[in-house]
Amino acid sequence: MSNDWKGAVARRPLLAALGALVGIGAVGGTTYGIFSLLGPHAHKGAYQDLISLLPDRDDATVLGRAVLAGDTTSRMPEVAHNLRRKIGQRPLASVLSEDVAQGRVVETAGWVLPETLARLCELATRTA
Amino acid sequence: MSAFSDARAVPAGSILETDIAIIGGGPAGITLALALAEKPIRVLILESGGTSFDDKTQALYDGTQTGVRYTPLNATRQRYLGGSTNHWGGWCRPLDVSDFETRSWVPHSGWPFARSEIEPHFARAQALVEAGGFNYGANTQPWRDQYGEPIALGAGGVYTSWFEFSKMRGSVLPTNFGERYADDLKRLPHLKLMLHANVTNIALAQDAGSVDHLDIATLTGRKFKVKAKHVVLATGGIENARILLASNSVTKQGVGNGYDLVGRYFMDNPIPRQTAKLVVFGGALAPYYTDSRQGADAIFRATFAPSEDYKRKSNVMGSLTTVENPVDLDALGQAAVATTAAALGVDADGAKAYSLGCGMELKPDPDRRFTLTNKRDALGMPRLSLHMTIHDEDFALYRETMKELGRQLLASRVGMIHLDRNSRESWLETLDWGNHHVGTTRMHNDPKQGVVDANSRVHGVGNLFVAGTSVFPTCGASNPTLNLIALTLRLAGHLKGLFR
Repeated sequence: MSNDWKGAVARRPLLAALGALVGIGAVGGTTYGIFSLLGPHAHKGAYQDLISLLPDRDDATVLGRAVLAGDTTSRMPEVAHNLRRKIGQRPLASVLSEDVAQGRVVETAGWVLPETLARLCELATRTA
Repeated sequence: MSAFSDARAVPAGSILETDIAIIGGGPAGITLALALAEKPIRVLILESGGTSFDDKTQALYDGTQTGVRYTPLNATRQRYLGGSTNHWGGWCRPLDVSDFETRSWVPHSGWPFARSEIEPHFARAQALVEAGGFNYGANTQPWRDQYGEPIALGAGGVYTSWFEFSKMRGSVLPTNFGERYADDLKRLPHLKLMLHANVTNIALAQDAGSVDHLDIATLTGRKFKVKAKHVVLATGGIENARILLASNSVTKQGVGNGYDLVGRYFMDNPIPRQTAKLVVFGGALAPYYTDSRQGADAIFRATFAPSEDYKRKSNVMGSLTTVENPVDLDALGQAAVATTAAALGVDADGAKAYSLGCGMELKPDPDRRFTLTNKRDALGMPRLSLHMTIHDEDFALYRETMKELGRQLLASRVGMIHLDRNSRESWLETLDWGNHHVGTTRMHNDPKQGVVDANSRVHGVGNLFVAGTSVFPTCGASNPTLNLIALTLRLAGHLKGLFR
């Protein structure tokens, strides 16, 4: 697992607290932001930019379930934030190639996958 | 041409004399005899069996075992002329350069010399096993022209390496040294080969510094002695240890066992099946991955091996992974392949999955050992007990190599890997063994760390040598026969030097 992902996990308590504060103070505010920070109950469209990178939503969801079975602790906003930062405007294939070239592969139910792909599938499953 | 003699016909109480006595008529013993024939040295091969399988002789191998399941001791070798070549598979590959090195992550590793010491003998060893040209990847162009290119792998630690095979004659097994070289042995003017001759004791001189004589017995009850200027023990990695341990009339702990090393550090190559699935997005895989193929110069087969650099950097052990057979994928597997290929921008409509198997290298373990028991065989020799081990780390290190192969397949966008085994129980489910008996009389310059020195001479016993895989300090992943023959040819050179 890369340092980026480790960093994301370490910031989890801080982000949770921040999420709660924003939620309390944002009555009448944008529901988009609240749902985004609450993660598991997020608006499905919030991550459409990322999920649309996947070629087949159904297949990705099957794979994503396996990812979640191995790691159920990461939160969607963090996952999405890291993915957006990593992918930027680049084609997904380039990002995946960079992953494997730099040794960023994960094992999901025995399948060796580029880390970014595993996270995208996780996102697809959580918002399915 | 003279026929082989029969120990059952030797008068009881006889004392036979020779220059060199070779105990065992397997690949090491036969190779040594053939190589020594270049000099006028009297050589006597003492073979326990006859020229074909015999139940009573084979039962001399009976023994017990504890620990991890291993091949029954009476089934892991065949006790008649030809030895292990009576049932070998013919797989050949030189040990890697790093196999000879002292590896910081492998306790007890390091040969007393580099691979370059036995390299001059590979060509003749290759000829003796009749494996064709000594190629092993040096020039694969003709094979690629004939059968297609190897699978493309991204830069990394695993590469396509090659086995070559001892000659198959139709449906007959690979070169059987007993059959193949019987006539050659009979033609040698200074060689005698005695069948049904069991060495039951290596009798040391009273100062324990040399072998005085060998005690010989037959299953018919005949007993006599052999006196030799030099003795070479070449009965295989299990029996070599038994004879040394059982020869305790002068030194209680056995011959060459002053530091309690004989029988310890036993190694074999575990062969777990269905270790992983290799998916090829395009489906096609050159046929030499799944089966051996006939090339212009040799029968060959591809294998995935960790590179020398990868082994050193990642501290993994040797392994040789072969593609076995096509397999189906479950729903998750199909989703994984479809999603991954598409995300990489690759078409996987024709993807195929193949099961992988492998031969692994174990780390030396002093507790993986043979000991004598109170039970006796028909000749009165103590039987052996094996305590077999394999550690979780052995599996984990191989798994790392497979994960690296998976990474490289993704990097080249030609495929991916599924790792099938993730618990000790699942590894052991399909675990088989190569029946390569290594390490029980290990080689080291320091008598506290090895039974024999760099010349295969037993420490402290001036005229006793050991030939075969039992002297390998580490086993590597390569099949041992070609390598033990090269090492035996080196020993032959040393022995010839003693008669100048």
